[in-house]
Amino acid sequence: MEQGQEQGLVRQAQAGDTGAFASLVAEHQRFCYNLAFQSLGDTREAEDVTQEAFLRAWLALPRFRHQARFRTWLYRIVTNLCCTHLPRLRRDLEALGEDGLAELPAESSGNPLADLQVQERRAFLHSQIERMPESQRLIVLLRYREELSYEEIADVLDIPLGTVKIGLFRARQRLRAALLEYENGHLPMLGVAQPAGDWNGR
Amino acid sequence: MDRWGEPQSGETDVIADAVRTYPLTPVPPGLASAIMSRIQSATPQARFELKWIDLALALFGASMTALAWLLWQWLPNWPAWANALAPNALVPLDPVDIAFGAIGIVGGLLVLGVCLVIALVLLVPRPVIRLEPIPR
Repeated sequence: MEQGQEQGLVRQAQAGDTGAFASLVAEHQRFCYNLAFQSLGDTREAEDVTQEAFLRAWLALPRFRHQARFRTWLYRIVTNLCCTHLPRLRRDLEALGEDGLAELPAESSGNPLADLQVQERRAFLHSQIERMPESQRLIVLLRYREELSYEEIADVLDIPLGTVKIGLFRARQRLRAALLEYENGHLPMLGVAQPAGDWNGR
Repeated sequence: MDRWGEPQSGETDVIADAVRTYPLTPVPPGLASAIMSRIQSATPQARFELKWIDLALALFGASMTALAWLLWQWLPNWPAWANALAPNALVPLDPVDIAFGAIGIVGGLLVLGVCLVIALVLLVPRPVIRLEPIPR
């Protein structure tokens, strides 16, 4: 959905048009549900949180001033509800930025992945993303699946900008390290789990 | 890769591809319907409620009906009524004056009625509620 089209729907919904809001629900329900599911790890709770988030968004919509994108505002409602359901998540998010970059391992400049099959590597990395802490996985999802800016992620998760950067850095470092181990044959390839859904997330 | 972990060259394409294609979990069936159901139940519905404008309009309608009935009763007897009343008045009543007076009263009531209708249309707020089916 284009930005202008979404803004138009939001304005209609602000005027009380439930049909316009239903279109916004249809557009954003999937990612909102996934944010909740990736945070809470339970489908039932994720469904409840998603419903509650949209209900709160509907009730607060008259106060939405278009200072941020609608989806950024909506995702913030979802993550706030997730933090209420899982208080540990808030602590984990805030802890992402602790210790700065001092303990991060040095970057490797090699390219050891050239001979691996693309699908196999992708499946392995998806399984590694699933094993990430919820806080890192949320940042990765917001950055790469929804292509939010660092500032928007900081706003959604209510954490400092530097914490977002460090969290992303660590997430990628974690994947890089896992991939190097995988390449070097330190991980059994039979244990790689296939994530749900197809590769395009459809 | 830059300091913050963004891909810059082909060496990190695999990781970039993996994080961008991380599959989303399918949405449970009926989630959108459940959301809209909760939203519609939380939306205040228009309720029947009497306000001052309703009472004023009812009073105006009743008075107009009563006035019409009285005029209907009195109009044929105006000359006789005027003649009976004339000896008691300082100035004898002219049937024409009485007719003008009646027209004035009726006109005033009509103007009042128009004002009430305008107030009803312009001043009474109505909730904007449009219930439409959820798009598939």
